[in-house]
Amino acid sequence: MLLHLRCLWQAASRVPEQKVSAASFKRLLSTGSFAKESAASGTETMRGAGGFSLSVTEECVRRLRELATRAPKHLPFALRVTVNSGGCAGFQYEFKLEHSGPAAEDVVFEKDGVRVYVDAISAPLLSGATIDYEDELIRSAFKVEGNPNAEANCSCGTSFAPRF
Amino acid sequence: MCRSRAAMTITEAAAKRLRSLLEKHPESYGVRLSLKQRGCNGLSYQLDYAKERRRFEEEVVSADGRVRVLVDPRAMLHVVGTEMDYVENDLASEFVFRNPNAKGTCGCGESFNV
Repeated sequence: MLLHLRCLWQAASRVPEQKVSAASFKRLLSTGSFAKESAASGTETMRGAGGFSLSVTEECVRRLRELATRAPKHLPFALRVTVNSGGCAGFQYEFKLEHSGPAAEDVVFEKDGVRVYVDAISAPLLSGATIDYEDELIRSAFKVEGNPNAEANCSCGTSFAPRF
Repeated sequence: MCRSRAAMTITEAAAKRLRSLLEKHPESYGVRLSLKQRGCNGLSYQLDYAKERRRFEEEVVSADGRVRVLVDPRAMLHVVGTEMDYVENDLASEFVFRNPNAKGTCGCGESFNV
């Protein structure tokens, strides 16, 4: 439990623009941030520091577990989702597998051993979205779905225009 | 008799992937490649399981003779000479089409124009 709290404390203090005091940390705990929530159809919502949330579908969790079994056991394992400029709609999503701990400015989302890192700049552009692993005949790939911060999406789903 | 050249080529990687997919769908005769008016560059590829060969469809057989790709007659003109390949990494695995007729492609590679 103590170790768990310390992890939360570390995660909370990682958000740079929000200096986390002991009081606000207590508030974070009491308001249920970091608490896991279950939404419909096997999609899990994870909460990270700074009030950001991210959902992962069952397929996404399954695929990440599968990849984790192939990764070196002694290293941490996480999926990094980044929002970068590019694509036909202005901004695009990028996925990467990480075999190291989170960087200082990362927001960490965690659920049942599945970890997702999102850097502090990408987090507000991704918060509330769902990460899926679509498995179709022509393509199997990680995908961002239902991003509430996007005003328009590219047809292939890799890029979007943010809502300002 | 003149030997007709295949309208499309299927790489070994694509054939291997198709084989494993079709093993899970034993009722399928092959896969059907068609084009959809979609994407920022006009056309995008679509793959479906095919139960039978339809009229006017071109049948492309892999080098090992074990998988069949049926090309929709409306797509034929646009995909002639295309190489169908399969690329795989941890984050995504997909069929890619190297199409000599494409004049431009979308950034994500999903759509093209001719």
